[in-house]
Amino acid sequence: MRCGSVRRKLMAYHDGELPQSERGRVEEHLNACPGCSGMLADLVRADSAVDMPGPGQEYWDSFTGRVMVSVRKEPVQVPARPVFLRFVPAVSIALVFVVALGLYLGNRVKLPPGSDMVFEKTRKAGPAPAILSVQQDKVEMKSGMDRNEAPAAIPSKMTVGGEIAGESYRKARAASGIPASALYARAESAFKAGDLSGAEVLLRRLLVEYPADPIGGKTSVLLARVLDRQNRLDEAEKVLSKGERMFPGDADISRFRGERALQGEGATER
Amino acid sequence: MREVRDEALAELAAEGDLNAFEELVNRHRAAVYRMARAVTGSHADADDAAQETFIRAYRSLGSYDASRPFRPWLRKIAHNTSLNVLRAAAGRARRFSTGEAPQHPDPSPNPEAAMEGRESRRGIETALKNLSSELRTTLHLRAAEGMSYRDIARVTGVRIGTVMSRLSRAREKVLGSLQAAEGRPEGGEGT
Repeated sequence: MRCGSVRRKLMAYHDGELPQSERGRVEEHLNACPGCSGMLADLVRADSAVDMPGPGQEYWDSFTGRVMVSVRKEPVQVPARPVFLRFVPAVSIALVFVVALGLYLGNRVKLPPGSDMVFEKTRKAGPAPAILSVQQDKVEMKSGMDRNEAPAAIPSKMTVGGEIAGESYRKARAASGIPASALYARAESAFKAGDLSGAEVLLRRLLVEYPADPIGGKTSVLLARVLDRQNRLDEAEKVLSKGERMFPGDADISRFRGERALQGEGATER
Repeated sequence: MREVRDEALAELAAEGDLNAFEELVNRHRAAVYRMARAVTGSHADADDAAQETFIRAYRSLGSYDASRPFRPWLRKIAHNTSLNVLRAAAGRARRFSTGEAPQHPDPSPNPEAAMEGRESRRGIETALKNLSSELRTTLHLRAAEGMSYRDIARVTGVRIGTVMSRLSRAREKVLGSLQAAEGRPEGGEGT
């Protein structure tokens, strides 16, 4: 390789952007040519100029605090909607348009002779039955009610994902859109699959979003297990202590404490 | 011990976890400051730009896609914010060109102890100050951050060829300034 060819490639070589196949040939030349290796030394020297001293610990001590003061003044973040939800307004408008068009055209269509009788029979049969309860095993219907009349009894509690939808559920649901039980289930499967980082994120998110949810005790235990598995024993201890403060006497935490103590004794004996 | 990834922290922060965001600030503040310093060339402007970068990043978390790496996303914000601060500073300088610009102390550690080697440092600082913001930023991203040409192109919004030519010119100018400060003719072999 000649000097001219090497010098054209020297910067890419220095920056690690030269293909491996060419690196060897450039290196071979550099070992033999003081002129080209001097140019390489200049590149190193120019780069070292950028390595300026930082502003010092005193500056950093206040930096994060100042950022966080400004951030706390910011309005609460609203998570971005999933992609499919972004199209909801457009789809709704399109749907309204299609229905309106259908109604308009429907009024204009001339019915074949005799079809009026079908509508007449339907009208005579009386109003359609109204559904009172939507339980799968017992669908009770009552005739004689107008379609627009409200059903007499609407179940006061609805079952969603095995949980009774009470006040805390509704508040929690409003916070993130994902129920605590669903988050916990996802974290548990991540833990079982060995994805400790994923499980940790989900569990921490759960504790932030649902700080007072009764599932918190169970969540603290699983998070402690995740941390223990990574040998982050101090962090696990903190999580458990916080869980105990939040949910005094929680059975899951007490049980796990017992297990942990036994394991600790076992490890000491071994 | 494995720490939580930046992307996961950003997801948590987007959902309102300020502790997660604080952790991100602590992890990236030095790199963001260095980038801001490279673009603006002064500590006071770099401080403004670094603070503003994190506030903008917080505001933009809702649009951050956690499947993409967090670091280049933040660097891009830092670069754009620093350019804005630089432009504002240039505007201020033009408006107050008759008066003397306020001087901000540079809180570098141990200013007394740094007497030794201050001269050579001054030569290097002059070399960097003589560079345009684009050249200084490109050199910083490569030499201090170790970014690839492709990533630099992405952050600064130019083509890879432009990155390479800026890098080449930046190094040439820095070397020229260093050699001039040492009393050597530019491009000379020295004694």
